[in-house]
Amino acid sequence: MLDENATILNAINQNPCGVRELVEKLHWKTERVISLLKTMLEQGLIEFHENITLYRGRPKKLIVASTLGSEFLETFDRCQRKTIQINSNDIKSAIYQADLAKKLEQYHVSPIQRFWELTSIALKVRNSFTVEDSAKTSSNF
Amino acid sequence: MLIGGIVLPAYGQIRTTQDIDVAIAVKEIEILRQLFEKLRKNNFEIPTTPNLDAACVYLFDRENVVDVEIWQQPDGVIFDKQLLQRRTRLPIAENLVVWAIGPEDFIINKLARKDRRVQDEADVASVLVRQKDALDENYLVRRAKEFEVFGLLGALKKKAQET
Repeated sequence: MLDENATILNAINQNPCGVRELVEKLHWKTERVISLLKTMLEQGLIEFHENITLYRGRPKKLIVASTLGSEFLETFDRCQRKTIQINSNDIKSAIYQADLAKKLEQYHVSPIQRFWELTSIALKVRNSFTVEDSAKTSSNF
Repeated sequence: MLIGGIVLPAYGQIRTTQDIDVAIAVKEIEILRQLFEKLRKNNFEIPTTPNLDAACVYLFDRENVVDVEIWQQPDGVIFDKQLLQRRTRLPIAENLVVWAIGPEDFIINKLARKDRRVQDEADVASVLVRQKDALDENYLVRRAKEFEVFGLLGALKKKAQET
């Protein structure tokens, strides 16, 4: 629901449009878009503005994000950036890393001590590349 | 040649890793046998017999309590002249200079992993940010296409540009 609201707000933010154009833009079913717009209107996330032109006929109604809608979108984007993104391989890797830590304890090696050793190796790797950076050596292979 | 997370601080963000990945290109079984023998003498636990077709051999260094992965067929890596030309010498201690995979091949190796994690993508993004102009773009693109990670590389480049 939140995702759908954000998608609609993003679409109308880029270019305010009517319902039909929005349906075309999103490639969603018309009923779905209308139902979502109705709920969003009730929630105060969107407003309909009449687009008065010189052409004859009924003025077109443009969907526009309300102040609340704009605030919602900003907050939603901020939250999205904070989302922890992982997949099943990250979880497997975390379990593997935990098993390694257990192994260290079995061998009476302090995981904290090991962490500092690894950090020092990482810093050495970083610094050694900085020194050698410009002197990349090609092999005699 | 070192590959994997241990090389990351050289090209990208500083992140520690508990295990060590090493790539080897051995063509004769006898040489592999000798290598296994030497490692066993040096207190390495190797649960398998030498096999040139094994993509990876898992070792355990009992003395230092470290898991080591010896890769004979690392994902996204072709043992050719170009790979070797792009290797980097890392003098990580007074008496220890090691070869490390080059930045472009590091990227492809990470992206082509069959068990790729979101962490690997973040690692690559950090290399793209830090090595921005130093990367051999033509080589990187060619390798990315070869290993079918060109689209993913493009997405990460975009992400890196936004950073």
